[in-house]
Amino acid sequence: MGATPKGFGCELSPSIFKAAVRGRQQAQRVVFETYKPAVLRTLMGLCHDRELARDLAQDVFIQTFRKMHQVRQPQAFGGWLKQLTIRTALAHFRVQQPQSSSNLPEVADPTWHSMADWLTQLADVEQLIKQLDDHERSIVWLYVGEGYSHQEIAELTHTPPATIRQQYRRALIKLHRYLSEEQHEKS
Amino acid sequence: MKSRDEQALQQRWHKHVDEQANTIELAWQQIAPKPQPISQRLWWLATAAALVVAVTYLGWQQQPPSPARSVATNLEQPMLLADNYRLTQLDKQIQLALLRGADTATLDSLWQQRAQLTSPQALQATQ
Repeated sequence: MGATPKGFGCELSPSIFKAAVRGRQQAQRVVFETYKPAVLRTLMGLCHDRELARDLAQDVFIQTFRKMHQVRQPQAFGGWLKQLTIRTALAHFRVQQPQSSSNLPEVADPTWHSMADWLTQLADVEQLIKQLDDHERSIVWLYVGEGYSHQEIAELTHTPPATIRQQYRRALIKLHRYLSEEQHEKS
Repeated sequence: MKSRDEQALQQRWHKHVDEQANTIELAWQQIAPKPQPISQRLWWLATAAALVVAVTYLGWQQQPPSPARSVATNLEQPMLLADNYRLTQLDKQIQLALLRGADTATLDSLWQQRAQLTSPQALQATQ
């Protein structure tokens, strides 16, 4: 038996998809239960806050059932839902914390040497992630966690790619500093 | 290509997010549109019934009855949701029941079984 598609890659029966588009609640429930883990996971990575992730997931699914008629092919639904999930979270952050600094000074490459082993052993990864603000966390999660390129993140956030690369490097430097301090304290 | 540090970060972060996301409780009832008031539903039912009667009567008056059409059943391979075998089987059952037009009680019973399997407690027990 082949590998079962998971996350946003789950396949939806065309009949269920059509019934959900027509507004049949039981079919919509299948859509909800199928994609709920993927939506919550992506939102949890972006928000780092369980309550907020749950509230945004509610928004995402309400929008989904309102707009899913825009999706022509059932196979395209997972990708469409992923985009909707990420855009919903980014829109929330824009309202909460508008971005002002588009002209950041150039920063040097992070000297993040031999941190992988320390990172693997780190007990409190939550504290590490907390070092980043909402915007930095979104960029790092989209790049590291969701596999987006800097160019794609730039398009999603309406920011120049060079700025995204700088902000990503800055975020890594922050994490590196925190890890260095932790390492220093423990040794 | 991601560096070794980025890969380590990715691994730790994924694990953390998986653990956290599994504990978030979000029920279908929080998403589903609220049912309409009974009076409103009755009004719609009465209108629909009147329309059906009118159309049937007119059709009967004007044309000979057409042969009954067989109901198309589209039973494509249902999706598989997770590695959990019982959950996968249950998802198949739900979709098949839905496609075969099962009654609400049957569907509710299947959804209840699924909720038990996917509750945070059940997920933690399988980890």
